[in-house]
Amino acid sequence: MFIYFSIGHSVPAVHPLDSRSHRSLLSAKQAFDRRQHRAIPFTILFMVLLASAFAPSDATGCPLQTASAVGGGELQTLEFDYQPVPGQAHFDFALPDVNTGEIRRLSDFKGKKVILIHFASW
Amino acid sequence: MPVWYETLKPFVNENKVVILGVVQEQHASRTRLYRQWGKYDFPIVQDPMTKLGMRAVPLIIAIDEQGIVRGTKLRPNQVDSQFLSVDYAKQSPLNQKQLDPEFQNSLLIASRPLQEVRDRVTADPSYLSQINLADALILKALSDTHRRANQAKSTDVAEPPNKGDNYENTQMQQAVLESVKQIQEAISLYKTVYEGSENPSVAFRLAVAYRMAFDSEGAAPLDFANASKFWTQALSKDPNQYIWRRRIEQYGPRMNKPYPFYDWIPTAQKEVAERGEIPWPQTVALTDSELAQPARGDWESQPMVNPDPETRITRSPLGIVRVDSTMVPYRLKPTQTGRLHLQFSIRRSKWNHESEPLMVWLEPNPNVQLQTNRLNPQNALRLIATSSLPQTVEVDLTISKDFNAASDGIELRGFALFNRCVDESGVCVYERFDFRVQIPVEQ
Repeated sequence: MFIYFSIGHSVPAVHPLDSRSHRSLLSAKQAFDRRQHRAIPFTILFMVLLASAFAPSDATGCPLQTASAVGGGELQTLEFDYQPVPGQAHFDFALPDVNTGEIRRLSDFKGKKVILIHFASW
Repeated sequence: MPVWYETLKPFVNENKVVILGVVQEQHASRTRLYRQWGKYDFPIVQDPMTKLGMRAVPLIIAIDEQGIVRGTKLRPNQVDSQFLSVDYAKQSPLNQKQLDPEFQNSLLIASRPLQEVRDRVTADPSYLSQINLADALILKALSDTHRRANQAKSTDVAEPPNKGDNYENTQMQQAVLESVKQIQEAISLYKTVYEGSENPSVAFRLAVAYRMAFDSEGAAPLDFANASKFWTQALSKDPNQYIWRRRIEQYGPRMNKPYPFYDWIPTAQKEVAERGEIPWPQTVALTDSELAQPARGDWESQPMVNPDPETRITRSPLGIVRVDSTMVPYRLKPTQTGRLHLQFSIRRSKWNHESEPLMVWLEPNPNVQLQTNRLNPQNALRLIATSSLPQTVEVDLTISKDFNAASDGIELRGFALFNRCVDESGVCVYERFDFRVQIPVEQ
């Protein structure tokens, strides 16, 4: 059986613009201007808080490492699509020869032109 | 492949180019025969776990003397003018992208001493280190298996070591058991990482390792079922992985097959034998599904008669015969078609193939449409008078659209009829073995 990481409860998001005490000390124009200036950082802050609100968290509100987050970073190496680009070096690899069992590396053929044929017999 | 080979052969003979094949298949014995049949004399390496990230085949890559990719879409008639005749040494150096050292290390893991890879896990027990060790173990087991097959062939042994053989050579027996241990250790590592990461590439590797275990001396009852389970999980997480899809289709129902996978093998064996050569043996026996032609449209069940409705045939004693079932894909939805593989193993006696072969009857079930109720092993490549090798039967089935049970799946009941030689004295009996198997169904 597999162990699935549980998704913890969410932290409620608090909108930073909901603090009305500051607004009451300013004129409508000043408040408008200040809101304009604050809009960008507040928007960023809001998005961060919103993201954290929906992020998995433990009982203390600290983000949990989800299943994908645990292995996701270091295992990204495995999520590789083979797309050789002309002009770029082909990565080296080592695999067993189907007939002899010998481990062959692409770099064994350095100094020679190589046609690499990826195929299946079906 | 034949066109490319014919085009390149004169240039290979002139030492202007080398060919390196990379095959993504599970079983190298298929590739060995394919290579022999086509008289392909270039080396072919095996990447059964799609470690290189290959998602579709075929793909031809032209690489220059310095290891720089020079073409990915060349046609055979362009290869001389656009690649072989070009002097890349005269061209200015290119700005190279730096390759991730972890990625490069992972791709070269098969060339590292196993102890070095093991030590790395001790020093850094990260998921990636564990996967590298598991990959190294699998590739080592493959390499040793291929080497043993080659030794057997080169010494003119009619059959290379097969599952179920008695090894007189103790050294070889130890080597076989070492490979089994390596596969088991790799399974354990892949499982640990998959449980923590649910990474699809790890699921695919785990499935490959389970299938290798199933084909090995250390086979456990659920190995093939687990291979099907993790192949299915890998594909469900990455449905566009063409190679992974093909691996499931290889064992899957005829309805889902794009083409017959290995129907060329009997022809190849015949033609190679006609040339006076011994065809490379299939160390892992072909299954019916690998030879089956695709089926299109609805198939109609063939009505069959129960061969022993009143249970008149004597039941086999307990513990003599065992059945292991594998569904491909692993879990079906209502209306979905899959292929059921039933493997029958025998203990303390042998199947007798000289008279009537094994026959399996599956009871009709309202929740399942069976292609047929009565099954025989179609593939009998190693037909000899008696053997203790497992026998497999396969059938396509479709889950009823009305099936809506709360249980995990559908229970199919059936029985097998077979001739069994009780001991070396030649006493043989005709017996019946009753069984039940569970078809996993997705709700």
